[in-house]
Amino acid sequence: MVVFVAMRLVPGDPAEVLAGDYASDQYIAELRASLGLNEPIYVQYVIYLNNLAHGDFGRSIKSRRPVLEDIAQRVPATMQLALAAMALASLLGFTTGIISAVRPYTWLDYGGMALSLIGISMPVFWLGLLMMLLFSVRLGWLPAGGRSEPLSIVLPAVALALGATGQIARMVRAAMLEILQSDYIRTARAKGLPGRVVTIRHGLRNAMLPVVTILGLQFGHLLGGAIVTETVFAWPGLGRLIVDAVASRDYAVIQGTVIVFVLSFAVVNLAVDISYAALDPRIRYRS
Amino acid sequence: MDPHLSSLLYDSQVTWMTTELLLKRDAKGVLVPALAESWSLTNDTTWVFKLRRGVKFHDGTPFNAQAVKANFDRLYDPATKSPRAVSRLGMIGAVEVVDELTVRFVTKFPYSPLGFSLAASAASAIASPAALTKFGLQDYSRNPVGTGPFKFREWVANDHITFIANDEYWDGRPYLDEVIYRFVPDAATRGVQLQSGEVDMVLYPEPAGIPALVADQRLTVVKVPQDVEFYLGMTHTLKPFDDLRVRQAVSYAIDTKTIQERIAVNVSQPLKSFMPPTVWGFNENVKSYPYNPEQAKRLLAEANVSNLDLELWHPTGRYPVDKQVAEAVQQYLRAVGINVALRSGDAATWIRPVNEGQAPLFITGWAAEGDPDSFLFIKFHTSNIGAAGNRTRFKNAKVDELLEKARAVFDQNARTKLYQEVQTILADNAVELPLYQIVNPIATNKKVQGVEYGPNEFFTINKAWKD
Repeated sequence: MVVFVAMRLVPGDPAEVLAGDYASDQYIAELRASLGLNEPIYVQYVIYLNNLAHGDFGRSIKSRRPVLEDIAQRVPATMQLALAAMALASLLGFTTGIISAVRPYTWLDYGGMALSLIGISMPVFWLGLLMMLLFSVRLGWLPAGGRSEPLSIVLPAVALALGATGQIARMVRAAMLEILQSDYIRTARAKGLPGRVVTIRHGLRNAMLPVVTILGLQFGHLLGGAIVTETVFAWPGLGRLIVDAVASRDYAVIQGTVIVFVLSFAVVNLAVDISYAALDPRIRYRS
Repeated sequence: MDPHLSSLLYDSQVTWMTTELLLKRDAKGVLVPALAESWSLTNDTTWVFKLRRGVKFHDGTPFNAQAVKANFDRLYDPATKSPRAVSRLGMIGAVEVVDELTVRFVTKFPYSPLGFSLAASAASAIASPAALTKFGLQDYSRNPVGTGPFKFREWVANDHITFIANDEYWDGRPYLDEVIYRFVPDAATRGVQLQSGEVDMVLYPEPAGIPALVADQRLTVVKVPQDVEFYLGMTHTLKPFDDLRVRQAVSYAIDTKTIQERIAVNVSQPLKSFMPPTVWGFNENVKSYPYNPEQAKRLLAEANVSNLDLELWHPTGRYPVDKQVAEAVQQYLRAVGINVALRSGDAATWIRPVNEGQAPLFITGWAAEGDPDSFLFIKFHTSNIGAAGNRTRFKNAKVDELLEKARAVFDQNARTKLYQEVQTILADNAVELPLYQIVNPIATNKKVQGVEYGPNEFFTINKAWKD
């Protein structure tokens, strides 16, 4: 509802945009009426909800096609990018975090945390362009944008993943440092278990609770970051769709895309909640 | 890519690959035959077009007068809700089939620029009626079928569109086998893709990146002047712009030469009148307002205007360096005592105050069709005040009279004289301040040859090849 109302409060009118230059006031008025934009806002909202309940997300004002179709075409691209970035961020983040945690206060640790900080602070569009200049123009190793080749996903996924990598690394380090001080870890070492087993099976597993929470939240950030990344790298996903839709005030498309984003985020975090039970037997939801 | 549904220029470029018009403009902007071999007038409101023989649509159906009529019927059908039907082609009253290869257009009133109107707008593109019926309003735009040099192959949403050569094109099969249009929203990314060799041609590269592209030995940058006037508008119905002296003061206060040469470098050309020299009838002898801040201050004092606080609305990102130009204008006006607050937004935000006459000052461009009528009548006739084109809300009975006469008269010389007089009056009235003519830089890989660039923001590549 917030998005519904906010979009209509922002200055700018889809009929004017659609009509383009040269349009007469009369034509614009007719277009507005035919798009149902002259109804009071609460009427429009009720109509929208009613349609939603029937599975109708409305039509794009620009393409005139059902919103669900426009969205469905682009979901795979964004999901592919988000999952690739998530996987990369987890891999790099965990590795960096664990190394930092088992060798705290050494140059490995400081180096890892400095890199994390850089990853969190770097703007995606700037980094993206730099990477394209280096890897596409200078070295010619990777394609610069678009989704036409299998390697096309590398640069955008890396650019998108860096912020999340930093966050994950820091969280892993913090959680593990704390855990590695605990009694049961000392017990495990005293029992003579090899270092790696101690770290991973006993240390990391127990540090997962806070880390998994961060993973869930980072997925949300990745979805948002996808918008900029998709624009810079010309990646044909939901991010591009919503940017274009906002520019042309294509209300139905914006609302539909927001719903999809919110649902994805909700699903991922639900998975996170459920995983708590698997990770820590002490947490069980009583029925 | 449904020509009847779109109102955007970018859609047009892609539409030209597969679909054609009855007439078109060549690289110099002159009207030449396309699908119509010749045309003539039987009276002031009746135009007869003789169509080209032996042309077929990509689906094999024949191109003929019935096809032309079917297209225009669809354009004007209220169910189609075409944006262009009324605004660009509203003067056509009837389209009649005379015989297999002859079509008659009857206009609602004498309208000499009809040829240019038909040649300019994608709305008058001719598509296969069979395809239009088969795909309907919903799906035709994803399945265009025309007579053009290239056939549509596939469209991957937000990513690219692929075309392949039409072996049976009436003007000879194109040398290129395949053309792919890629949608790359970020200007810098486009430049990178060209430099890495992934794409062969880039439209609208980032202005700041152009020197780098020019320096690159593998690339060529062509600067194509467009039929676009980039100007500073003043809304005459808002004080103090109802006073001629204030408008003149603003014109003297701004150094358009420096703006054009320094800020809009690579994307502009100087402009002396209200339409570019690429449009016939251009009058280069109109009164101009060379940079003279002292004169500006004097005029403002004479008009008893001081401590002005105004808003200047401008688009951001719609035209190259639009924001920077607005900032420069702000500086120049401040130097003569006019305080300007910049207001901007995306296209949707910015259109309304300008259309409704709420923006005292605004900067924008006007693109038109190659006939002075589409510049001068649409922009300065009283009937077009508001969204239809007369954004400065200029009202002048003499100008109205001249413009009405000019579009009803068919003799080119007579029309030229009338339009030149109009431009003189407009300049004397300091109606708006033309800043510059927009130039489109197009960067290509040197391997691409034979592209023809035209002033309507498009280019033809049916005779192009790649080494």
